[in-house]
Amino acid sequence: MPMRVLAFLTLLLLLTGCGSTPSGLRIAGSTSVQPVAERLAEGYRRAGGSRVIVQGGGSTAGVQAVLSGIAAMGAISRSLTPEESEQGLVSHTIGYDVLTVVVHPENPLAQRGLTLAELRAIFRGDVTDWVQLGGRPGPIHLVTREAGSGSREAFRSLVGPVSPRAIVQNSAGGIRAAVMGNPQAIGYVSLGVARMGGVAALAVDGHRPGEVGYPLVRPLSLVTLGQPRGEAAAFLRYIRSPEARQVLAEEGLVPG
Amino acid sequence: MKPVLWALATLTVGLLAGLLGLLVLRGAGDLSWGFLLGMPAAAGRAGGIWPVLVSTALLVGGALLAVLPLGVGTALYLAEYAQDGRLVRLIRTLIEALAGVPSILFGLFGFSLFVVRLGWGWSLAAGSLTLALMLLPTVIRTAEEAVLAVPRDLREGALALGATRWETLRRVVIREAAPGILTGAVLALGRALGETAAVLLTAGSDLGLPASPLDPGRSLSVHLYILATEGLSEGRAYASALALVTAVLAVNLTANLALERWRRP
Amino acid sequence: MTDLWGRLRREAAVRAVLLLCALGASAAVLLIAFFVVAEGWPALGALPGARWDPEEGHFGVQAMVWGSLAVTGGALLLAVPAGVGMALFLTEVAPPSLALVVRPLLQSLAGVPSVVYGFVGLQVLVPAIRRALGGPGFSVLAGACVLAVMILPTIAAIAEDALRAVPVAYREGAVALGATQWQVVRRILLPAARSGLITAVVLGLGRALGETMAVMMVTGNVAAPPGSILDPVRTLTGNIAMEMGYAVGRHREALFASGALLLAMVMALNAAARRVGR
Repeated sequence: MPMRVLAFLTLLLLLTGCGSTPSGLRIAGSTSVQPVAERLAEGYRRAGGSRVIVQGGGSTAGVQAVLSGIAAMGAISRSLTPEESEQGLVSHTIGYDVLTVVVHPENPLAQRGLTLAELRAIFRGDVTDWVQLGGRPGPIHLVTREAGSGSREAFRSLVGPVSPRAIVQNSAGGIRAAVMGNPQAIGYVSLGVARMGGVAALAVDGHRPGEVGYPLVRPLSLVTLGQPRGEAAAFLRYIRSPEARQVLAEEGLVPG
Repeated sequence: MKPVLWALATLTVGLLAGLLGLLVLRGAGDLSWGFLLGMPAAAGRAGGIWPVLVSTALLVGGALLAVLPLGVGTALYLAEYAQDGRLVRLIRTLIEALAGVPSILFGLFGFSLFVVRLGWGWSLAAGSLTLALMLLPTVIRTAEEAVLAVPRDLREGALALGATRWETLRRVVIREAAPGILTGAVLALGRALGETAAVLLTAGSDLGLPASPLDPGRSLSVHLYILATEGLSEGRAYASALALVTAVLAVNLTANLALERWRRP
Repeated sequence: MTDLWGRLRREAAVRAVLLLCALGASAAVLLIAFFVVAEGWPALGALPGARWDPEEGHFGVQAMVWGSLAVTGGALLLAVPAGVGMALFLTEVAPPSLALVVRPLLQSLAGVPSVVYGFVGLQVLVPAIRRALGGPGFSVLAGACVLAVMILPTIAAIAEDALRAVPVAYREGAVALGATQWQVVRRILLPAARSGLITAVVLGLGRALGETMAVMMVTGNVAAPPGSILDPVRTLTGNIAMEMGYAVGRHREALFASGALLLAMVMALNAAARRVGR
C-alpha cells in the first residue's frame, strides 16, 4: 500500500512545473553567449541571486525555447527576425561582440590579415588555395557553424554567404578546436572564444579585433517573451551592474 | 591462413589495449578525487565533475526504476502466462523491433513528447523515460531468460502444494530468477551510461547540480562530447573518457561474469 | 490460505496487469514509429531533393543518404573480413584457453560508448588522416574506420555462432578426403555458414546505419555528396542530431521525415536478416 502512495506522489511531482524549473532561471541559446552567461550566472549567484541554468543549442534554438516555454530567457548572437519580434519577443542587448576570424597560428597570413573582400571570396568558395592570397600553398579548409547559429547568421550579414562545402561544427568551441588542429583551416568565433588561445585572430581591413573600426561587430542579447518579470528582470538588472560589466569586458564584449 | 588470423587477432586486441592505454596515458593525470568530487568552474574548463556524476547517477537510476517493473512484468507474462498464438508472436516481434530502433530516434521521440509537448523542458525525467524505452528490450530478454531457467520441479512442487500461478511466481520463481534479472539490469545500466545523443536531446547539458527531476543535467557521456567538440581542456576530456570507459567496462565485466557463473554454476 | 475466491481473483488481476505490461512494452515501438511518421508526414515529399538548405527551404536528403551509405559501406568493407576473420580465429586457430580470454575482450569493444570512439577518432584519427593523406581529416574514411571498430564485435559474434553451427560431419568428411585446414574453411565451412554470415553482415549494416555520435564527430558534417573517401560528409543520423535542437516548422518536419526514412531502412534490414537467417 505505501508503495502505491509513493508512486502516485512521484507521478504527481513529475507532472507539475514547466518553464522555470523549481530551482532557477533557465537561459537557452547561443553558444557564443554561453560562456559569458555562465560567468554572469556565477556572479549573480554570489551577489545573492537565484540559480541560473545556462543551456547552449544556438540562437534559434534559444528563441524556440522561449516561445515554447521551455526557457525563461533566450540568448542570441544576432538580431531578432521580424517574425520573431511579431510573436512578442523582446530583446535586451547585453553587449557588442566582436566576431573574430581565426586561423592556425602557423598560417603566414595571421600577421598580415585580410580585407573584407578577400574574406567574402574565401568563404564563398571562390578562392580555394592559400597560395592565391600569398600564403603557403595548400587548400583552404573552411569551417562554419550550423544552420541555426546566430554567429553564422551574423557572419552572413556582415561578410557574406558561406559555401556549402564548409565543414560544420555546432558550437563556437568546435570551430576553435577545428582551426587549432589544422594549419589550413579558417573559421569565425566570438572574441571571448578566440581569446582562449590556440588560434590567431585576423585583422580585417587593417583593423585588429577589438579596435575601433573593426568591421565585424554584432550585438549579443537576451530575449524574453514580453517584458521581463521576476527572476529574469532581476538578472537583467544585475547585468547592468559594474561588477557584471567587468565580467563582460573580460570576456571580450563591449558593454551595451 | 594461420599467420594472417593470428595477426588479425593481435591487431584487434592491440586496438582495445591501445585505446585504453591512450585514455590512461593522457587522462590519468587529470583523474583525481578532486576532479571527481569537485564542482566545475569556468564552464568546465577547470574544477571537477561532481554535478555530472550526480546527474548521471540520477538519470540512470531513474531509467532503471522506470524500465524494471515494465520489463520484468512483460518477461513474466511471456515466460509464464502466454500461450503460443498470434498475439504473443506479435508482441515478440514488436519488442524485437524496438531493439533495432536507432538511438537518435529515441531522442527525437523523447524531445518531441517529453520536452516539448508535455512541457517538461530539458529534464532528468525526460532523459530517464527516454532511456527506459531504449533499455526495455535488453531487460525483457534477460529477465525472460532468467525466469525460464528456473527448474520445473520447483514450480511443480509449489503448484502441488496448492499455490496459484501468481503465488508460485512471487514466492518461488522470482526469488530464484532474481540474480539473473539483476544481471540484466546491470547490463542495461552499462548501456545507459554510454548513451549520448538521446540524453543530450532530452536531459540537456546544464552543468549545475540538479535538485529535482525537472531540472536538466549533464551526463558523463554528454560532458565528454562537449569537452571533446569544444576543445576546452584536453586533459579533462581524456580524464572524463577514462572515467566513463572504466565505469562501463567494470559494469559490463561484472554483469558478464555473473551471467557466466549463473549459467554454468 | 483458504480464501480461494480471493486468491483466484488476485490471480486474474495479476494476469491482467502482466498482460498490460507486455502490451505496453510492445506498443512502445508502434508509438515511436507513429510519432516519427506523423510529425514528418507533411515533409515527406521534400526529401528526394538534392539540396539540403533549411534557410532557403530546401530539404532534400540525397547528400545525407549518400553520406550514410558511403560511411556504412566503408565500415562493412573493413569490418566484415575482420569480423569473419576473428570468428575463424576463435573457432579454428586459437587454443581454447586463449579463446576464453579473447572473446570477452572482443565483446568489450562493443561496450565502449560511441562518444568515446568519436573522441579518440577526433584526437587521433582525424589529424592522422589529414597529415598522411591530405584533406581536412574529417572524412568518409574517418567515419568508416570508427564505425568498423564499433560493428566488428557484432559481426564476429554472429559469424562465430554461424560457423559453430556447421555440422562436424561436414568438416570430418572433408578432412577424410585429404583437405587442408584452409581448404576446409574456404570450401566447406564458409559456404555452409553462408546464411548466418549474411545475417551478420545485414545486422552489422543495420547497426552502422543507426550510429550517430562517433560518426558525427569525425565526418565534418558537410551536406554535400562525397567525391572521395577523404571528403567530409554528413549522415542521416548526424543531420538529425545536429539540427533537431533548433529546427522549427517545415525544417523540423523534414528532420522527422528523414528519421522515418531511417527507421524504414533499418526495419527492412532487420526483417531481411531474420528471413535470411531462417
